[in-house]
Amino acid sequence: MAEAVMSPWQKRWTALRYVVGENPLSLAAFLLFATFVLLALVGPWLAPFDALTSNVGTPLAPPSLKYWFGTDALGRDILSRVVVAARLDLGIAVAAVSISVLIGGLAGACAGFFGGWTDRIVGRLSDTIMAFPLFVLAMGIVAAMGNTVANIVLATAIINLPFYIRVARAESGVLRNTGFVEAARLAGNSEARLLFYHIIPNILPPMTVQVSLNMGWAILNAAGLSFIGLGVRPPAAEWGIMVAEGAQYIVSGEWWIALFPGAVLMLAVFCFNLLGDSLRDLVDPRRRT
Amino acid sequence: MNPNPETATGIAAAFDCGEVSAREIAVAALERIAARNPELNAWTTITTERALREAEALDAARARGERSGRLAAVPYAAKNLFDIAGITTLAGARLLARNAPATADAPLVQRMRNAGGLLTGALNMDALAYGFTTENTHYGNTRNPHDSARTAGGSSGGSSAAVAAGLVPIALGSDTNGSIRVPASLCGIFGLKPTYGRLPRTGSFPFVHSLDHLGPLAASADDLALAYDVLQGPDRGDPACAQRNIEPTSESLARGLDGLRIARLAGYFDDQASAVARAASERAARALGSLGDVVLPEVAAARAAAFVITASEGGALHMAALRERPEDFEPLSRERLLAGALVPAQWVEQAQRMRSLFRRRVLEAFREIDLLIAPATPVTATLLGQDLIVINGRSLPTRPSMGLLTQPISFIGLPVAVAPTWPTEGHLPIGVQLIAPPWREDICLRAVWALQKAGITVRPVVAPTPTT
Amino acid sequence: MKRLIEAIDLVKHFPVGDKKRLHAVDGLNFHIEAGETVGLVGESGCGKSTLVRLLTRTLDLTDGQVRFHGHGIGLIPARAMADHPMRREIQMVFQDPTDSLDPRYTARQTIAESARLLTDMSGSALDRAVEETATHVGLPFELLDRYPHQLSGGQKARVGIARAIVVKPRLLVLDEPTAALDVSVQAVILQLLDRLKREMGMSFLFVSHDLNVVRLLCDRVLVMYLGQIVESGPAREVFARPLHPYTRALIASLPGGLAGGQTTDADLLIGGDPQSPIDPDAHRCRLFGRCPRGVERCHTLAPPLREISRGRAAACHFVGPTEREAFVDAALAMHNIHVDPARRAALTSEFNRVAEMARLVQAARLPGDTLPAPQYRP
Repeated sequence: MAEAVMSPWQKRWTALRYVVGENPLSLAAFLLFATFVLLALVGPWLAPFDALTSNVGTPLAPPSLKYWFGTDALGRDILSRVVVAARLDLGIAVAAVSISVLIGGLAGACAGFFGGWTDRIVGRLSDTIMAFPLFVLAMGIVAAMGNTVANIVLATAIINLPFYIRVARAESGVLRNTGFVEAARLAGNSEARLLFYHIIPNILPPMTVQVSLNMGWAILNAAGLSFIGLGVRPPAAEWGIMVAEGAQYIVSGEWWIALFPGAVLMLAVFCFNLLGDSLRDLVDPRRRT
Repeated sequence: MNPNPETATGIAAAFDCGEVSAREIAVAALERIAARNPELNAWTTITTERALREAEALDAARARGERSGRLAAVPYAAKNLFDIAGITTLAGARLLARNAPATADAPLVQRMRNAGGLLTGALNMDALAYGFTTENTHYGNTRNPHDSARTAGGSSGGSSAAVAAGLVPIALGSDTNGSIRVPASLCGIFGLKPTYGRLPRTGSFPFVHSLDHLGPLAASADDLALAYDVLQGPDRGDPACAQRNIEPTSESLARGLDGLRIARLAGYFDDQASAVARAASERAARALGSLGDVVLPEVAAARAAAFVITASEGGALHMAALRERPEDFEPLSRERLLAGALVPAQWVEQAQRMRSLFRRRVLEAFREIDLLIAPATPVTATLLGQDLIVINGRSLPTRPSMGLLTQPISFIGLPVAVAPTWPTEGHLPIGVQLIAPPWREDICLRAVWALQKAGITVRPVVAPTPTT
Repeated sequence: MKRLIEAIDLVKHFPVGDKKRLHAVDGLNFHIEAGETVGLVGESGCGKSTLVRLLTRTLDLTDGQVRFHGHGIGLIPARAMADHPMRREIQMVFQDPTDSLDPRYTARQTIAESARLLTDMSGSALDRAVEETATHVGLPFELLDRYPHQLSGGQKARVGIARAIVVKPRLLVLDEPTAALDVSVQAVILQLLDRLKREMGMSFLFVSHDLNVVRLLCDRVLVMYLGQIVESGPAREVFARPLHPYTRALIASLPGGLAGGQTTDADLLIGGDPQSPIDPDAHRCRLFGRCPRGVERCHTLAPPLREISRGRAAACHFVGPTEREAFVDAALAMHNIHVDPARRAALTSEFNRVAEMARLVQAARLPGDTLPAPQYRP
């Protein structure tokens, strides 16, 4: 029985199609994710109106054919602002989670694999972070260092570190004692090579589940900080800050100002949570046939 | 008259009615042998001149209108422990290589010649007949024609390979503890070990006087019976040979099973057999209408007694050479022979007693039964050089264990015919033993003939290819 | 000629709690010659795995030396061994083929990794080496690009072997290579190992609890108990004529028996717990308490491993030739036959086999047998 030899890319594409095809829900999640990414990349050019300009239309106008999501108190088109905010929110989340994964993952892997002092130091660090209610810590960091996008990213990254450290440390600790690690030593892998070429690739599957859940959480975090005024500053378009701005108008009946950004925010978080499962299937070869 | 031209009966018929000359047959056979023997290593000497001379004599006789013998123009060969005039009888052993050549054919070889057979040469064997795999350090291993990485069985490995490769339809071999039946099983052909004392052993190199038998191997049941009939007859040169009249069997083969009471041996013969071997004996039992299973007592002890007698007599025969020329012995059997030669007489006496008690007990079983069935080998052919086999979860050394199922039967001298079967898995055959009461070779031959008729012995047309 | 690998007074102690120490390997001395296959047998917990890891240098020694071709390698820290040029000379095949393969590496990647890191092969030379080794172990090329979870037990075992031999080590350690495989696959893998042994001229250290396999594949055998070697010698001899009570007990307890062996139920260990390997008493034999032969002397003086005859050593106060050995010697003398020492072991082994058969005959009872049973013990 001759099997066609597939290039690594062909194999990944086949795997992707398999994973996506198997579950309609994951298909939906992927499409949604793709939409968000698209919005983040080209949103500003697609938006019908400028997101920052005031008075493009009557302030507080309800949704209509011209302004699909209505306008806010300053007469800005909410649809345009929502679209443009995607870039900021996703950008913050991606940056924060990336930093967390890299630093937390590496620190946790070293702690779990090497043990000893490394483990003790990383453990203390993680405990210190976890000693605070995480959102409060984020608030504290941003308040102390100033309301810039960079600081929001930093704060979000820091409060997420313990999760990655914990997963990486636990998985590495288990892997340290498996036969293939010992076999890899015999194959000439130094301790550093073992860490990077055997341990870390094997702890990726559990970490990727975390990543997607985390993305959702990070978006929520950034939005939350903005909501209470410690995040992005006006007139920047960001979902959280838009919800904050719209909150005061709900009582007076202008529901659309808070609803649309809130709904899109919710959709984004939902999408990333669903994505978590599919991503794990893609990365872990054992789950594929 | 359309017998298969590849069989002895077919060849004799074709020659007799003038379709083909003996010389053509001889030349064709010798060419095939020359082509295939380098790979198989079945022949140790090819007697080209003699075969051609015998062929010419046959053609001349036919031209004169003389009647042809029953094996006219049939090429055959003999295990190299048979005396062949003008050739040193090697018995597979370098030890004997410097002896003078034999002055005359052994009586069994003479009978083949008188029936019109064409002798193509002498066949390889385990040194001094002490082995079940024909792995011979000095004369090379003989390969199984169905899979050249595997043994042809032993000690008549050359005989079985020669017949299984279709190079000669009949070969002569010897069987002390299984040396005809084991190679017939592993190479997928027919073999017959007649009753102890039936065929004279004059002019053949001995191994164990109390247990040695000579007999034919063939590619079909008809040829087997025909060869046996030709070989029969007393001879005063062998003191153990019973002076019985010739009792022909070929004519009565077609009687088939005709009222025979048949049973299958279980107990020891299942314990010491792998699943493949058991399945083969069950299949043969079903085809022959077995009435049920029979369990004989103390079979393992009987095999042990055969082992002790073999060791002791086999070793004693070579005592002087073991002392003076140990380096000339086959390393795989030298220490076995020496250990046997040192065995205390008490052990041998007990083994001989065991023999008559066991024989009596088994003959009682034959009051109710005419034929018993058992597998011939515990497993199919093993790889050359393989040291271990696994039977029912136990690891055992390969070489001595190949004879586990044949040894207890030859121990008490019963006649046994072997018919090949082809299991559905794998590409290797395995034989079944058909065991009759003393002097009833006709029963075993009828049974193998019936198995052949039922199609059990035929190799399937599409054989699965071997996998790694 | 220098020995391939030598262990000299090898010691490994593990700390237990504050003050106690577990004596996993306690003063071992042995060697392996080039081209030899040495078997290491012993029950679980005797220290085989620790010893193996000391030899392959994945564990640091507490004391003693390991010399490879005359070079001391015992002092190289285990962590630094991966980068040492000696790393490729000693390789290991693991017990559990599933556990010892990285699940994210294909078979090809696993095999190539050893070669890439330990030799200077690369590119197409490397690919060729991987494929040659795969052919050698009977692994079809189509399977090379599969992941471990897509391979059967026997196939994974072959990958484990391929990965170890691709760098052509001089010493290959096999740690119970068939224990995690089912019976039918075991036979196939053992035949593969037998072939490799004959074709590659490597030395093997074969750790196993299956005495039958060790007897047939190994030239010499070491029997280990509680961190010490209790018996050593040529495999055929040790199994034909086991000297140490522990070796005798191992053979006597095999369900099918060992063909040609001469142990009886009297050799089985008597009930009793094995001594603890934590801070063991240095003044008594480790087997005392379970040994059927134990006497006063055994618990006041620990017997050292001493040479009993050429090439054979045992650590017991009571070892000497048995009655059967004496009989064979006398018979050879009477017949005026000289057997050179290299063949003497084979002769004993064959004689034992016949003796065992004679014993079976003696024990049989058939109807009509009116004679009383003989009293001697063959």
